[in-house]
Amino acid sequence: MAQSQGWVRRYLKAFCKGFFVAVPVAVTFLDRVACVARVEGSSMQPSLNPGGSQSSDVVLLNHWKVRNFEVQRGDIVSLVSPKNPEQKIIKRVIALEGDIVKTIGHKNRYVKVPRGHIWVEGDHHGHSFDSNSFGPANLVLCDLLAQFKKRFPWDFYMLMLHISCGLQSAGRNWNLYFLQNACQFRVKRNDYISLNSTVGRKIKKRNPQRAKFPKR
Amino acid sequence: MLRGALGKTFRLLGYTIQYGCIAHCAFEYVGGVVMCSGPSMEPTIQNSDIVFAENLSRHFYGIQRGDIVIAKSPNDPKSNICKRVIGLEGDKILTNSSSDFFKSHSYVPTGHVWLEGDNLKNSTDSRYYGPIPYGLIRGRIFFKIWPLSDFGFLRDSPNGYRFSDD
Repeated sequence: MAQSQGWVRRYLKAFCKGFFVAVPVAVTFLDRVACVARVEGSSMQPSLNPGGSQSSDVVLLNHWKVRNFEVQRGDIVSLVSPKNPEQKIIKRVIALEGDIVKTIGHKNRYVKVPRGHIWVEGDHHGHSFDSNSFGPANLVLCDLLAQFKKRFPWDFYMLMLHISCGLQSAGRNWNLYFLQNACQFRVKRNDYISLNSTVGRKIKKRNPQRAKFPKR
Repeated sequence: MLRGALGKTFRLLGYTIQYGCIAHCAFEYVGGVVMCSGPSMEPTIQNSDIVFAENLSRHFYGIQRGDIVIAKSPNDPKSNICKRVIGLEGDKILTNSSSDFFKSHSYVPTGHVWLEGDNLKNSTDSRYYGPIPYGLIRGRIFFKIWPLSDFGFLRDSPNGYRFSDD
């Protein structure tokens, strides 16, 4: 009897010790370094969820890369929705602070992105809730950078299962490709023009419309 | 000898990581001690006061009108600001001073809050940069630790008339 009690106590002690080590380390890792998330909705077609509602892509969100709030045009970021703080949205960065953007369906035709803000858009124009409806998004909201995706034939939970089982070899079949180079047509279309602060000020005073979009 | 030193190093590294992670979780989800600087909250919080901030109400969406919050500055993501919540989403806010003859109002959009300092004359707040998104809020300040003469819960806003009456 005494022996079994000792065994239980030892087991509980080991469990508590492991628990207090593993949980904070895991939470910190997920908060600071990287985590895995499933993408819902069609706003990022064709980069994410190309098959519509049948399949949902799984992306790796890299927190470490945006720890200094340094994002580039063309990056795909996940941000807390400015309209609903409980929701997270995934969008592509179109313009950074100081850029002038030609908008699609925003109330102003041209918008200068203010300091500390970015302009984000979904790749599926017209079916995306993005900066064209809520204006420039704050850089602080964008906390994660989606770096690459795994097209996954099974469900998200299966992926979690695979990770927890340590079946790393299962990754061989996944189409793993970097999103940053894929589908940059909106960025390539030269809809934004980056302005140095001094140049921008000079141009803005004279004739903003013509100077912003010179003929090619 | 070497093996012992190596094992000690690894154990030290492991403990460092473990306590670092515990500290991160505590500061991120529970709260911490913060030193405030700047004159914008003047009668309530003086320059270089030390206060206690908790993050739980932010995670459970329990921020209310009149709470003092720490938020990321909307212009500069690396700095923090400390202001009082004057309006939540959908509230009607007086955007100029109440002594003006023409009063201009605006509504706080969904998912945003309106922040103002208690020292209305010397504060850069939502009157200057507009409502800020809820996601920028880091935590709520509720208890003052230093100076000891002012130890205790924080006072109510001296500018009560700024709140929308409904």
